[in-house]
Amino acid sequence: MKMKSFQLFKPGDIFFWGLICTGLIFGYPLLFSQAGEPSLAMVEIDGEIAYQFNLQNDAAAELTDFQPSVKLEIENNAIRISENSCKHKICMTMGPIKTTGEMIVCVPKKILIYIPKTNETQKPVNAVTG
Amino acid sequence: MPLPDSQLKDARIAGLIVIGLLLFIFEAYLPRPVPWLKFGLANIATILALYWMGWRAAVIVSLFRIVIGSFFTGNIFTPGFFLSLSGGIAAVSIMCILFQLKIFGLLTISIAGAAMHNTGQLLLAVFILFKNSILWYLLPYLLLTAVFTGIVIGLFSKYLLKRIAEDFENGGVAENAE
Repeated sequence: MKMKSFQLFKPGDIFFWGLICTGLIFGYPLLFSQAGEPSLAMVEIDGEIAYQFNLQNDAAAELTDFQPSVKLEIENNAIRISENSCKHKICMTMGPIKTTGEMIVCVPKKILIYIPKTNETQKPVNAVTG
Repeated sequence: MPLPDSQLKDARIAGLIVIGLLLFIFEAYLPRPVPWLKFGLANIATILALYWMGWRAAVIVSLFRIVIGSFFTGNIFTPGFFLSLSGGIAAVSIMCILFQLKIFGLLTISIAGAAMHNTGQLLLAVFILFKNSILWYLLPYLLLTAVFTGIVIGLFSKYLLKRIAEDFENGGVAENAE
């Protein structure tokens, strides 16, 4: 059994790096060009918008869809998950989010919290808080 | 008595699955400086299999590692498992394709694997788990971290491949290294 060639660099790499650089140059402006003044945080559970929160009012909230409930904290125009019983608690380490495009994701509980663009069409909401 | 080639290959694949599992479990319990940053240490085993025994071995090592690793970490058939599986399939696919083309270096293959791992996970999250296209916002961050982690994993793999070449293959000479 002969080991295959494992050179770090080969001529074809230039195409790959070209692709990466092009993606970075064009990707960022496209993604962040429509950022507006954020005032709302949307909370989706299992793909459906379940709550929306006004970021301008400091508050504490609970997502009672889960047992034990997931606790949220809104402070200084930012929202964060302050308590969650999921295994790795990655969502809690993500810290507070406050600008358009930022998000908190809890994979085990399928919770997605994000700040929408101001011109984004909003789906029907089960509850409005704050 | 030396093993026949086919058994030797099976034994090496099994060994690499175990190495991948150990790295996978070890990493699962490591604290993360940045929530999204995961090095993908287990991908080292896949890269070693790819360069040592070819694409079939890489696919076997990758899939077995993900399934068995999820059993050990208690994540089997959870959303996290399916994210891991989709990322793993995407990563090993692109690495095997680029490897077969023979025009890409180890570092590019490693970075492409990391990038596709993140992209595969994101595809599953956007279209099945969360059904929300806003998650695409994460793509640039995930690709940037993939470049960083891909370089680290690529360099580790290069070192280990050189050692394997010297110790097990090619009569003790790493003749394929740069």
